[in-house]
Amino acid sequence: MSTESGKQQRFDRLAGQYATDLYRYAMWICGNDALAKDLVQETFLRAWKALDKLKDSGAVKSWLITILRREYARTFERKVPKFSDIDKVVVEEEQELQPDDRTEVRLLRRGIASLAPKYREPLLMQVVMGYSCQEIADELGISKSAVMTQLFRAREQLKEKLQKDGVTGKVHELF
Amino acid sequence: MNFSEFKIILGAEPRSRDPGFLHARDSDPAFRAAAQKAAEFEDKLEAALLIGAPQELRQRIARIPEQPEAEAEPASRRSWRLLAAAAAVVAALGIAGVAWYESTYHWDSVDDYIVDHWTVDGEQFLELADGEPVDQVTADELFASYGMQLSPALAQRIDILGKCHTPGSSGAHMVISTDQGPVTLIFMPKVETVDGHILAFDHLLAATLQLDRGSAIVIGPSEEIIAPVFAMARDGIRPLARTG
Repeated sequence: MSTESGKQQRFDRLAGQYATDLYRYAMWICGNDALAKDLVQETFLRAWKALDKLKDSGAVKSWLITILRREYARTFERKVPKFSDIDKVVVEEEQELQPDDRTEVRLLRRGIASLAPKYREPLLMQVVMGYSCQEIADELGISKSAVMTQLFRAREQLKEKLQKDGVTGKVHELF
Repeated sequence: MNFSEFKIILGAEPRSRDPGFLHARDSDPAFRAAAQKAAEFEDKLEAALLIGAPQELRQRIARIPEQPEAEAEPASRRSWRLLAAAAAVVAALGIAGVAWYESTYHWDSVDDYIVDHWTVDGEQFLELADGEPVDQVTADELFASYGMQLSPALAQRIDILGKCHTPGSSGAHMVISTDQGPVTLIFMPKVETVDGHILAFDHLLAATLQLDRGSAIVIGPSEEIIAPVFAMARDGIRPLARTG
């Protein structure tokens, strides 16, 4: 097997394994479908160019998310654009849910979109990327206990939002 | 582990496999009930977060190894093009002498690009403006990456600064503070335009400015409002001075 085809296979495996999760992560941090696709595409382009330098295959996920976060940071200096596309994301999974659950999921999505970045990002790393609290702490450069506090608060805020909207298992015709 | 400690871990790591946590969960009905409730909420959270990834994205990623030296085609470029059909465009003057550096998908004209870009990002960037200037070091770094530099007079008026896609390369999208309100300024590193060409669209005016390297677009509600930014950009965006 040639070196080039080996690299191609390695890249294809990476893409197959991580593209979806990276898109989800990107979509939730920037709230814009076109930008999320750009970020993921740029991430994999950089990954392709630097793939030969990556020796530790166990660090791949962290490596990719770091590239994506840096690319996002470079795109927007201080401000985060308003979430614009989160209601338009792929909804076919919703059709499999019961109406009550569908409403809750929609409310949760809006709640997640309105979380402050310091709560949203650790939550995304944990639930979307499967990071442990220690891995999140290492990525964000904060303590594990700070991560746990932020995760706890993120979930509490989301539950409060659901309660505030009166979702208690009844169907609500909101739209 | 007491119940308060248990609930904190439940809130932070509801799927925790920590032995102490699992033991606490299994040893008391109240703990087990709380864990069950947390698991139900977590299922909904996962359902909410785990949105699908578009097939189109996978295809574009798969093409990356085929074009390793080219910049990957941005999704936003295509979506801007699709949105152009919905925009009302009135060309005040024809376009001539536009040179493009494109290897893949491209706009038919600078006017097309202006309308597309504004449709996707124009209003959104304006809404973010809050009158606070961006950090000049950051602005300098971005423009240095294009081989350009900004005058302090221009830099201190940049309220919003972000990278954006322009024909042939990434560029800079800025919102400039003026006494008459925010004005949009877009720098396109690899585009040549007709200097002073005006495009009227969607109750706005866009003026193109040919620079020593690259070009710029100034967008605002009237000529009177965009003229000072036009002049500021001509004087304020220049190639980096060579040393030595």
